[in-house]
Formats: sequence, C-alpha cells, structure tokens
Amino acid sequence: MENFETKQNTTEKIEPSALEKIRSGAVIAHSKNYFRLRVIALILVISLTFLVSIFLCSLVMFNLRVSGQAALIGFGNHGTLLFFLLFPWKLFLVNAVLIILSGLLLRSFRFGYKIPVLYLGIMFIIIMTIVGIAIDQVNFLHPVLLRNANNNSMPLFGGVYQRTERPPLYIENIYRGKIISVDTDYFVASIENGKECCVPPAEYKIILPASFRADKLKIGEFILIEGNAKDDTIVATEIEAIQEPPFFEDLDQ
Amino acid sequence: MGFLRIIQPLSFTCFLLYNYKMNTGEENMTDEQIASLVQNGDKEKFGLLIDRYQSKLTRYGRKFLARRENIEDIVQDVFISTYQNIQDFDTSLKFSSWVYRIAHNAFVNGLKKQSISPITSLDLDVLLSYQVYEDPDVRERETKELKKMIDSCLDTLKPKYREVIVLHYIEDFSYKEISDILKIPTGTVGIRIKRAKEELRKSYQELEKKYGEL
Repeated sequence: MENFETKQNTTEKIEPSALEKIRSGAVIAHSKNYFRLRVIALILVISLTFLVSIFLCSLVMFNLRVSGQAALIGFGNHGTLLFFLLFPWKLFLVNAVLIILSGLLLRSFRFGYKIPVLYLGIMFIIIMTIVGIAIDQVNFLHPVLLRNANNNSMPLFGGVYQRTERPPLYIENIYRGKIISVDTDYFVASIENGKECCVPPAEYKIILPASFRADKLKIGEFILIEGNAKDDTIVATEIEAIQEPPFFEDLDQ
Repeated sequence: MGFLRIIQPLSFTCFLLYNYKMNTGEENMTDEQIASLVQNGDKEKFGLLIDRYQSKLTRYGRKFLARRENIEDIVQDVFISTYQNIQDFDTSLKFSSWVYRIAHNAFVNGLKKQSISPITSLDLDVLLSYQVYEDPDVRERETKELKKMIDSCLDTLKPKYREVIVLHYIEDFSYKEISDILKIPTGTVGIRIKRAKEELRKSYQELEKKYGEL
C-alpha cells in the first residue's frame, strides 16, 4: 500500500525529551495493580448501576401493579391518559439516566464499543425488564420494603413506596374496592380510597355499566371503578379487576 | 567422510543460532515484543518505540488537526502517556492500534482546545449497525484515485471524517483496527469512510469548478 507521505525526517527528535523524563524518574509507569484495581472498580460501578436499574424497573412494575394504575389502560382514552399522567416518570427518568451511564461505562470494554449503542441499550432494557418483572412477581422484596416505608423506617425510597397506595385513588371518579355481594345489575363493594379520598371509606352500591355482565365479578375480588358517586351509590362507567392492594383496610374487619 | 559427518550438523546448528540471534535483534523485534520488555522494566527499549512512532504520530496529528504548530508537544505527551500506561497494554493485541488510540484522545483534546467542531464521543452513527465489506483491491484502487482529493481537500472535511480517511488511506489501518482506535463499531467506521469519500469528492468538484482542473 502506497503512503501519501513518507516518513518525515524534518520533525524534531522527541526521543531525548520524553526518554530523559522516563530515565530521570520524572515520569513513572503505573503498576499492573493500578490497572487491575481500575478494572475492578469499573466492573463494580457497572454492576451497581445495573442492579439499581433493575431494582428501579421492578419498583415501577410494583407501583403500577399494586396501585391498580395498570388497570387504567382498560378504561379507554380517559384511563390511558390518566395512566400516563400518573406514571412514575421520575423513577423512569432516573432509570433511563442509569441505562445511559451503564452503556457509556461498558464502552470501556472491547465488546462494549463493538456493539452499536442502540442494540446495547435495547439489550439492557430487555434484560432489565425481564428481571424486573421476575422480582415483582416473586412479590417478596417490595412488600417488605413497603411495610418498612409505612413504619417510617426507610428514608430513601419511603415516599416512593407510600405513593403506591394512593394513585390513582386520589383522582376523582376512580375508586378502589373489594366486592362484597353481586346482583344482576349492581354489586356492593367496600370502597377504600386512602387518606386523600373524595369519598369516605364505606360500602357502596355500584350500578354496572349497560354492557357489563355481572357474572364476570367474583365476591372477594378487588376492582378499580370509574364512575360518579352520589350518596352511597356509584354509577360505574368502567370496571377492571386488580390484585389485592397492600394494606387494604377491609371494612368488614 | 567422518569429519564431514561431524561438521555438517555443527554448521547447521551455527546457522540456526545465527538466525535466532538475527531474529531477536532490536530491528527485527515486533512492537509488542518491545512493549513487553518495557513492561518488564527495560526503560531504554521505550526509545525504540518512540523511534518507530514519532514520525507516524506527528503526521497523523498534522493531518487530523489540520495545523502544524504544537503537534510535537502533543506527540511528546502521547509518548509520556503511553509509557505511564504501558502495563495496561495487552501484548496479544496490536501495539500500533493501542498507541494510536492514545494519540487519538490527545488530538481530540487538541481539537477541544482549538474549539473547532470537536468530536463527540457519542455520535448518531454509532447508534445503528451497518453492513460493510472491506476489499484490499478496492482500497488500493481508491487510494490512487483519492490521492489528489486528499492532498487538496482533506482540511475541508469534518474532523470525524478527516480522521477515518487519515487512518485508512494514509496510516494504512484496516476497518477493524480503526474500530479499536476510535472505539466505535466496525460498521460505523465503514459508513464514516463512505460519507467522508462522498464529502471529499464534492469538495474536489467544487474546487475544480472554481480553479479549473487541479
């Protein structure tokens, strides 16, 4: 291969200056251990970032599941809009920053820069989501942390956990309840919307939407209702089953 | 005959020993072998690496930064940094890619100091994967074709395009080696070279229009 510019001898010799500094000890080489420690520190930071990222991802899933917020998507356009309004965006953004940070740190390694950034990011998100869902489904870590949060013994994520009990319940026209009895065109549910609720905790008669079949409902099941409350009756426009919310204050007890 | 039977194996042994000595001479040592000696404490051998790379890195810096002043100072810093980090070099890999990586970082810092179109570490073209095929015959043909264009229009390119052209067509690195130097995917190297050639051709045509055939 022909080079355009052959070796130039016109440049001043650098050797004496750089080599003299090395010979005199003014410049010393870092030890092998220095680089080993640096790699270990880098691996630790990446692992920690990744673990925090997985934790936050599972926390988002937990948040959506236990608050009943995920069920809002079944409430049509209004519900979907509410879902996005109430989505824990702060957690999501912190997680996005952590993913970008992990990606940048991984680029210090050969495999990290050989894979295009987008693919690396997608790979990260897939792994994080799968592990996050798995942690949430095991249903052990977050309920324990939630209990600690409610006992005020968790300063860092306490607020985030306490918040899982409220949304979307403080939003007007969305109610959380447990089915007590079912009839043909209505059912009775104990509604418990948390401290900031628009209706007091009590038993309400829920009038079913016209197209809704009562045989879909089971006694003891937890539900999210969209509708208008008047006195002790709620005229429902949408109903979705949800999982049992933690610390649901059963009015029967 | 008996004498020959003794002499023949002896002379063959001498021949092998001579060849071994020649091959282990400083001139015949690979960069990686020299780097390994420096790693083991032979400071003086670092001078050999400086000898081998001084002109190359100075040329690379001049072409990349598109200026002449202070290049020697930056190259000196590159050698000092190379020595400081020599224990980090994996001797099973190519020393040239490694030292050019250090030089790349130093020159990018130089660009930042100049404050003219600095290279960002995360460019859009590193997001996706591109299929590239590197053909040595095509490169040789292109090298001849692009020579004039590089000589007259290299300075008009953005630094990220200028750098890949310098590394591929002037410093003779393959896509894979450039990928290790710049820490970007091999496909991105290919796409940058393709775009850089298009830019070069455009700039050259504009020059031709302005001044007639160059």
